[in-house]
Amino acid sequence: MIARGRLLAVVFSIAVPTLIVAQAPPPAPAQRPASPPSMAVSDEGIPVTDPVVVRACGSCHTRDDKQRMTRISDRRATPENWELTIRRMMSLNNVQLTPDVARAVIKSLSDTHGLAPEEARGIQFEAERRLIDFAFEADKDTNTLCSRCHSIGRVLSERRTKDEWTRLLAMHRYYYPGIDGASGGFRRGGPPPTAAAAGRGRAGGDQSGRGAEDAQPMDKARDVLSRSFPLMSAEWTAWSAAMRTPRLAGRWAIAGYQIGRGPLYGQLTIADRAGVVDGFTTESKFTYSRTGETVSHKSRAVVYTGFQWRGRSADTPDDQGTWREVEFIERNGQQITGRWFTGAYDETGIDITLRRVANDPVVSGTDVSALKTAASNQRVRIYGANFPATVQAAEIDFGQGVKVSRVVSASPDTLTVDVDVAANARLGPRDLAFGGSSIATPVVVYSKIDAIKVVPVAGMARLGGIQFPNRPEQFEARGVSYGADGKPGTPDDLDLGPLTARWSLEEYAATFRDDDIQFVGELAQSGLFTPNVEGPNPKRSGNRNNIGDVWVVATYNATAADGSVKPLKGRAHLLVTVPLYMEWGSREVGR
Amino acid sequence: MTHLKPINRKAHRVADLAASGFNRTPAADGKDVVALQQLPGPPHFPLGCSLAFSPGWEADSTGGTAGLCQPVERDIFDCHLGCFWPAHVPDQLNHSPNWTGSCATAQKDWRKLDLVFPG
Amino acid sequence: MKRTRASGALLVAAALLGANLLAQTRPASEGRLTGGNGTLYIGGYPNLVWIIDEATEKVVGTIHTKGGIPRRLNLTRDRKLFYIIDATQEVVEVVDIASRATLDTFKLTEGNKRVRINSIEPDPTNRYAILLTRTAVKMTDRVDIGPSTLLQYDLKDHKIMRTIDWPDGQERDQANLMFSPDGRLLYFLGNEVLIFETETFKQVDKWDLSNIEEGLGQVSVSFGGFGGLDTVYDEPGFLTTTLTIEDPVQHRRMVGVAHIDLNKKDLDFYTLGPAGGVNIVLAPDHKHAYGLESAVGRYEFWTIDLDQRKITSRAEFAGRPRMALKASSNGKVLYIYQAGHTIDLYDAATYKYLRTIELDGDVTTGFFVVPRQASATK
Repeated sequence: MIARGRLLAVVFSIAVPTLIVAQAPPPAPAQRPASPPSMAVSDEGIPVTDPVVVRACGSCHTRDDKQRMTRISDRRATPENWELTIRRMMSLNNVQLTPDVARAVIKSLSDTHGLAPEEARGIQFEAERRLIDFAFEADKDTNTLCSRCHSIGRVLSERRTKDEWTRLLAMHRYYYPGIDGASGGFRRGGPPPTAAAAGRGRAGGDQSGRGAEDAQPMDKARDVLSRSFPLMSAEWTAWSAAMRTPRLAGRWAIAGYQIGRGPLYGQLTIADRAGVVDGFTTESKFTYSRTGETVSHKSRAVVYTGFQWRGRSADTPDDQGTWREVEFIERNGQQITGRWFTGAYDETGIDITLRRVANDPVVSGTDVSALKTAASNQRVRIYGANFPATVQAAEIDFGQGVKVSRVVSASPDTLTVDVDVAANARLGPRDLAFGGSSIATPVVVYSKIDAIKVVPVAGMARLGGIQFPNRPEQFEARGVSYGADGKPGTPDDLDLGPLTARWSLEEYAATFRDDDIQFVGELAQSGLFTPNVEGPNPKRSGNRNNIGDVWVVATYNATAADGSVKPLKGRAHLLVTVPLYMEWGSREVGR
Repeated sequence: MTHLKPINRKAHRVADLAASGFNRTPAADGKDVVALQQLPGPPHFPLGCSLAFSPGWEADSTGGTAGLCQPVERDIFDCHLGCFWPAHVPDQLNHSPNWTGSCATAQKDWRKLDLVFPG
Repeated sequence: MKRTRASGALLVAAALLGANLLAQTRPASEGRLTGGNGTLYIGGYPNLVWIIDEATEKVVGTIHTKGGIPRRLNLTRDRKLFYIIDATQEVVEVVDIASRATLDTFKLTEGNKRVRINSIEPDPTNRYAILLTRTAVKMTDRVDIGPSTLLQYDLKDHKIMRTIDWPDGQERDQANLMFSPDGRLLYFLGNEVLIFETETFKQVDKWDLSNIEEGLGQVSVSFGGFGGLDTVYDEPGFLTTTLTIEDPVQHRRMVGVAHIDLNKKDLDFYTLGPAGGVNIVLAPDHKHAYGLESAVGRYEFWTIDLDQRKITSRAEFAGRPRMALKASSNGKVLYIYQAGHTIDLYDAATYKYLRTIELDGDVTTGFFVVPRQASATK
């Protein structure tokens, strides 16, 4: 079994030499292909004024008298996408840059040709490497076309002129000629359907006439993307003016959640990082409330475009950044949200919210997420910062029907209280207010556990361990209340938080001869699924890999106290599939 | 079938089957065989998984693994040569022309294939 | 090392018990069932085409390609030459099969202008070839992709003779091309067959297959696929392939066999059953065809009697995704190939798995079964 740290060590030592080259002059003119007169940059192109970028990129991307560089000025993108472009320039276009210059170029272009906060918010999942269900609903054909090979999030992280979208598609077709056909579907592969066939085959569907029907899929996508994601936007124009180095130094309260391990709370300090523009360091300590386990964590980060925090763990001087941090800094400078993640596929993550701590109390959250009606002395721990030494029960307000009967103990960052909930307390969420700080819905009030659900409901694991790293999947069982109406699947249903369940795998009979559970891997009683190794398995029919799709089943033995008498079951679908043979993850962003 | 109205219960069942999208495919020997069917609604594919189903990389067109190559290593040369999965399998034309350099038969020599970090 | 197929054999046996087959049993005195006495060709990694003797199933020779990894093999009508396109799609190599020597290699790529050749069809006299190409130019700060272009290319002088205009000015990304046996006509095969004369390449005729009969509905004929057309078993000027029909009354999709006479522009067809994903190949006796149907989790062999115009047997077998089918030169063995380093042999009469030919490298091209001819080319 390859330890992930070791694999990264091997990788790092391979990757770095390709970047560390003495500052080389631009390629000799004889090597560069002859080209027609330079294309014009669009009128709306954004100038590039940073001499580092001009020097690194200017031998091929010429500048006009308005300081606009070909291609570059017609595009805005996230730091991750800029990094991918620069890496492609180095791997496929003979560009040679030292790591420092490459990082400086990524930083510079992310700042001057980046996304505004409003543009980035909806697609943060892409940088956070978060496996959610997401589709570009505005145009399903474009969503499918681009998703043939990569996440749609990568596409939505771009803003380009129409010509620049066109050139992006041409680049795809240059490097991957098969993309016109079955693998990419950029082009139809034949003449447009005849009028008669079009009429018969699309009964009542397309009424737009032959013109639209004739468009190649790639042209249709280009038009959709040009309309939806043009180069200039009001949000970017405004943010370009407002953008600056955010003021972050100071104390922050951590509220986090890690699937399978539950909530975590702690304190974090951000300091400015000497010698690095928009650079910061952090030191933090947090505790998993379920187990009491405490973790210390250090990181180094760079903020791009004035709000995009990108950090890497720096627990030791040699730490290769096994944990990455992707966070979004709110404009009010009081809250930062994002994800910290690790793993060969970035699959292990903590959802993080940081709240700025000054002198007044700050509430971060609670250890329990559900309170039962008609029950007294329910123990709740409240986490935060700046809690006073003496606290009266009446100062802690959960809302209607919920009374704090006793403050058991109080420390600057934790209050332990006992809570009584009335028999007739309304079912539903409660916001917590204390000491002038409040947070929304740390708990819900419920009367009984009606069901349990397993998350993620659609999981994915990848085989690995011999030649390639694997991707485990952590599942969690959570209680569900059907709410006041007692009906499942209605808006008043309540998520009651994680609970401990018994875990098992069941065959998901996708075909009549399915035998996947014998091969796919092991599901621990912690809910962690560890996949089997990769490679052909001679013990399996047809020498197949250890792939398969299975049910992950959680069984919860409800007690009378939960309000239920029979065991509750929930299940999720798990796809155990093959490795990726390429690793595209961001390596330079945040350094 | 749209112009015929069922007049007895058996006909109703047949009409219901047609409406629910199930095909009944009689085999040559006269036995009915219900072909593998998907319920209405497309299958789910995790974000970032390839949606090119020839036959599929992470999942086949039904969202499962039964349609994937058996084993994947059997067909991997084809994938590599055709740059068929540009984000999943090293492409022969650009980043990794020598990825299979020490590996004549992928099903036997798959341990010699490397994880590639483009750029 | 031969793979065991115990589970596969059990399954096929079970299928045989359940199904109603018109199976032919072989007399016990017959020796090992082989595919005939022809020759099998398949291209592979890193730079060769294997030549396999059909009777012994052994590799008896290799053709070494100078142009790199072979990707697409094109067998000339007289079965004497291969035109090979390499994995970059830029290099064509002409190989003489008997002597295994490379006769010629050429490419159209110059400097930063790549010319990708998607398919090639030489005229019957090998004087020129029709190339389907697309340019891809790498400029300093961008790329430019050209349109799909048909070129007539002089094979002796290595020069482009002309660009052939697309019919109706409609650019196409694929062109299944076939010359008439005398080389005077060039057919673009598709649901519309377009017929060009080969002096000036003007379109002289058109045959719309999608509209052949009232009440028949929408017709779709399949030509080629990965590896292109295989006309080894068809008589010159004829094609046997599959077609799909969606009738206008029931909106039912059905698959059938189409026998196409290019000279007479005649399409003889009949339907076989509901359309699924079946790949049909002709047997050399022209009286049978074999089918391979693949759906996720279900694989079937079919036998089609072309005289009786119906499927005479179907049975499930333990297949796998991504298989392709060819019939052996004696029609008694079915070859299952495509990717990997193996070719599996099945008994065409009973669908029983026989054995596997193992190669020492992964295959990279399509597969050709060439019967022994009177004028031995081995």
